[in-house]
Amino acid sequence: MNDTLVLGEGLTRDEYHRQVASELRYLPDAERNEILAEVNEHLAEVSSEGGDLVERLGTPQAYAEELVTAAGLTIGRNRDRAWWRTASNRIGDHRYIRSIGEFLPTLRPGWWVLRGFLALVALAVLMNGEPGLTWWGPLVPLPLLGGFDYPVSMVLLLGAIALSVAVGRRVAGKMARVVVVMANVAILALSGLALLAASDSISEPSSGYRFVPTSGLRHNGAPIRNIAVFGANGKPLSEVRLYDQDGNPITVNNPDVPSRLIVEPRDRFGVEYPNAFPLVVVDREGDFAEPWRQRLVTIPPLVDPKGETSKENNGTGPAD
Amino acid sequence: MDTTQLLKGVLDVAALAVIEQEDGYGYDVVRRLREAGLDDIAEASVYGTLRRLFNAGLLTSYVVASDAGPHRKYYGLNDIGRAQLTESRSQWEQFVKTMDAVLTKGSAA
Repeated sequence: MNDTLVLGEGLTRDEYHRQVASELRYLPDAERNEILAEVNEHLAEVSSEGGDLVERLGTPQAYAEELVTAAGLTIGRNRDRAWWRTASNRIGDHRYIRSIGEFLPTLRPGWWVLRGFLALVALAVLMNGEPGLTWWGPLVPLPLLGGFDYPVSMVLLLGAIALSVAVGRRVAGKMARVVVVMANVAILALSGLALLAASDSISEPSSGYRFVPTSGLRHNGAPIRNIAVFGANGKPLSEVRLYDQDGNPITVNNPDVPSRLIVEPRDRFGVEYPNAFPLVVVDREGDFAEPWRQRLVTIPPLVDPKGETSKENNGTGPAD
Repeated sequence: MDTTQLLKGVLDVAALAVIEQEDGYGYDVVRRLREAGLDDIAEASVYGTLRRLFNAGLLTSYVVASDAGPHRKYYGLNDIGRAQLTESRSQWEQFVKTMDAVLTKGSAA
């Protein structure tokens, strides 16, 4: 309403208000709106007394800084940070969040122990390229460092945990804290990725528990890479297509063999049959790459090699 | 001696004391502090202080329409504010006694 009212050489009331508002834009909306309503009230009072707003109250920027400092909502030099602090204080003030905040520090010693373990996992990853996890008793997973044997790894694990706890108890000062946070992130990233990748390759614990893989065709737990098929006469068959009880083609995972070395048979329409066994694995020269094909050329036939005895007689032996 | 810095430390208790006498809106508090002799007071910091005391749960507030301009937000003391004021008063008295002793000793020596 006072948009046209020019106070001295300074700003109009609306201009002043707008500039204060812009200074406070990083405050949460509710807080900001309540403050601006009072600023409006204040400016109305001051301008009703006449005189220049800037002369009386300072620049809108100084006014906003003064107000926010006194309100404990410091804008300071980094406004984003002030906004963040206000927001995080508000979240932190919430009843449930606060109880979590009070509870978390009690978990700290547990985290220190875990961090010691994870640090050794991370170290093992750096040295071996994998965590090399095995079991120490039925309960404690033990990362084996390349080149070190079992007892040495146990000592290293205990040492790492002791060191982590000692660090946790003594961290003081901003720089030290930053370094520890960075180390924590590195440890978590390295060990986390490695544990994720290795979760199916932890060796068998002494308690007898065994990780059962869920993918791929297996025989007694070992992956099947190829299947040799022999007919009743003991001669190897080729391009035998396998299906399960539901009619789904049976295929095998062959992670070690590049797919271009496996010749998948095609029918006359060019459709590939990855379930045709045995898979033909050739090397770059086009020769058979799998020695078993030479070794297992024949097995004992089920029928008389002469081919005259019928199947009914098999097992009971020749009648005469 | 620049009293602006001194004022900053005691603005809380001063504002609480003024509001204890009678509920008031921001500019009203500014005016009453001025009348009491605190001329150097920064007006924006009075508004900020009221806001902080309110956020801290020491004040109640209600809005009253004004003929002259925008609505006025009045502040009053609640029990927490009153308790805080009582405590601040005794701290202040103790502080003044201590400072008196320090300054008197200083001038005697």
